[in-house]
Amino acid sequence: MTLNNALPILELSDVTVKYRRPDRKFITAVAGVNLSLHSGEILGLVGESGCGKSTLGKAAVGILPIASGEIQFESQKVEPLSRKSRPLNLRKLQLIFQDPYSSLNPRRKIGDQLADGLLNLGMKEDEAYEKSSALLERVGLSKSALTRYTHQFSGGQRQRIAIARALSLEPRVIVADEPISALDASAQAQVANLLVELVEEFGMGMIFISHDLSVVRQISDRTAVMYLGKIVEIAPTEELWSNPQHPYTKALIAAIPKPDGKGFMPLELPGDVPDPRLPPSGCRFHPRCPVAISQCAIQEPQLVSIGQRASSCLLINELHS
Amino acid sequence: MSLLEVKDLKVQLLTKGGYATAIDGLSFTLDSGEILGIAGESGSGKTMTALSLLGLLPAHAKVSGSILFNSRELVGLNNKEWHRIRGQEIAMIFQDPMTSLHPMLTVKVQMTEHMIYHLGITEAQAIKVAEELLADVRIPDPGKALNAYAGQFSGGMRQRICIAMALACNPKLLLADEPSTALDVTVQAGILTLLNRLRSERNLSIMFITHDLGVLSSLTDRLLVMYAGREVESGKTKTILQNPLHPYTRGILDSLPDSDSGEKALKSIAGFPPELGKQPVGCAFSERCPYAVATCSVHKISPTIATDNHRYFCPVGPLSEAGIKS
Repeated sequence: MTLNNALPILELSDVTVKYRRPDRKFITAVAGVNLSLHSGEILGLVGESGCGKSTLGKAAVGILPIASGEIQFESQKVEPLSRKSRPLNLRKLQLIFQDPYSSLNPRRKIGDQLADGLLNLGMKEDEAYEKSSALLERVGLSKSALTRYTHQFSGGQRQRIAIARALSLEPRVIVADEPISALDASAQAQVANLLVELVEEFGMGMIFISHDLSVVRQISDRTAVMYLGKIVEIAPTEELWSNPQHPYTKALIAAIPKPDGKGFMPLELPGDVPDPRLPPSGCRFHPRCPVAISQCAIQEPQLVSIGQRASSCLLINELHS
Repeated sequence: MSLLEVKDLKVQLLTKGGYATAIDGLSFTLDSGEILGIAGESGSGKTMTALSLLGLLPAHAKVSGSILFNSRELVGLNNKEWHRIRGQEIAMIFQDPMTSLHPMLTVKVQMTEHMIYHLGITEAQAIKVAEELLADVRIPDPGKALNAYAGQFSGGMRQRICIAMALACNPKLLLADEPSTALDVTVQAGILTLLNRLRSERNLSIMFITHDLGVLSSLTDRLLVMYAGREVESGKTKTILQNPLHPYTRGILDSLPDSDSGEKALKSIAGFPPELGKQPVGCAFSERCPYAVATCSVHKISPTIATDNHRYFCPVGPLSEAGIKS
């Protein structure tokens, strides 16, 4: 479901995020990313660890400052989190973290953690707890959870609680950073299904960050593939999978083992993601690319759109020019 | 004669409420050069099975049954006897290579320590072997790698170092507990390829534990599916994945993303596995099973043998291709 005519609810324009390392040098974790997200859409963001997908997710909700570029949420600029209170409109932009063991407070009751955001907005206490219990029921837990503590729940249940907390402020966009990676196989399917249902029910937009490509394939409308701080390919999910263009996307898909009992060995992509302090010249993927030509080491490819999809590879761009 | 023959293994752990059964009557074999996959969710007893093969269960654990390794009974060995098995004849690699490598010791120290202990060789000899092993697992510049620390390597490289370390004393059996789960798919593919090569080159037996059926499909010859400490189904990997006969195996296969279905929702098995020590006498999956009848949870289930050593523990009967009870 891509709503091309409507304005995007979240728009990232040329976003760059830098970290300062202890040696005072900067590394560029996200290097000029353009992304747009529409209401009711799930955008999958995939890539190997260290490619900057979590950094991009955090920057998108404004908990990390950006070095350049701009992020617009509901046509308003997203300001990075500061000591001052967060602008009110940004409460509609929420983040769900990977590990519900560390994103929930072990020493506070679930109800208190869920009600925080509502009380901050000036809601009366009994109303806030009533709403919290409704949220718990919506994510499939009983309201008795209100008076219990985090350790009394399994990983899947904890992630449901974290989702309920993110929902309490009626978000328009949720950025979910590896929300199911820490869970058991059966809990993964349940939580992924819950997220899909919520997106449909509330017409939210969601950026679903994951290294589990097969889940992203199943639930996302569009998929963006990131490599070393840049988007290398973005396309409607089914098109990306049935006809990947960028050699990196092809390598990622070929590396997924298939549970069909046929015993095919997945294909290895040799080497690691390079050190972001010293990104390779030209195309960042060229040292690992099986089809790279000498020009790839010199010229940096641009993300070129063809219809609904875009990819950044000199070889593909040449084919189409 | 199989390299490993586990018979009616039972492991009980001491919990607040008394002894609870973590592994209940598990029997399987593993041949030389064979890769056996153990599949199951967390809490199904996969890791406990591996730990009982190394004598690394908690001190208060009660173990009964038999573990014949290389014609030797391992159940009831004392600590000193275990020392000679662990790391020498049976080695193990773990899920998280960051925590299984010591962050403050060089690779050299960690790779040579057990060789000097088990093989009685000098440090210089051990270093030479370590270099060869690192080259064998495709670590670039092994000489330099020996003097480096775990933190200087990527996740995939760390797991390769752990594999080299496990192979140092030339074990006959390698226990691999989710060794690729924490890695990216591209890196995981490399680790699987490496393990497969080592198996053929060294005639190494591998017990590969994971919940990822895709990984098991690529690498293993046979599969053992566990649920709540018991076997539910075992047989050739291909047979089980293409024609599962137990409802639980069918359930986990169905819960995998299937992009051909065109549906957004993933199928999932409703409910949760029983808590440790609260398994019913009969089938532990009966509570969640769509085909269960009243007697399922009451009687102890005996295995039904299908073709080709494929067996399953379900009293209701086999699942047909479409997943409907015939």
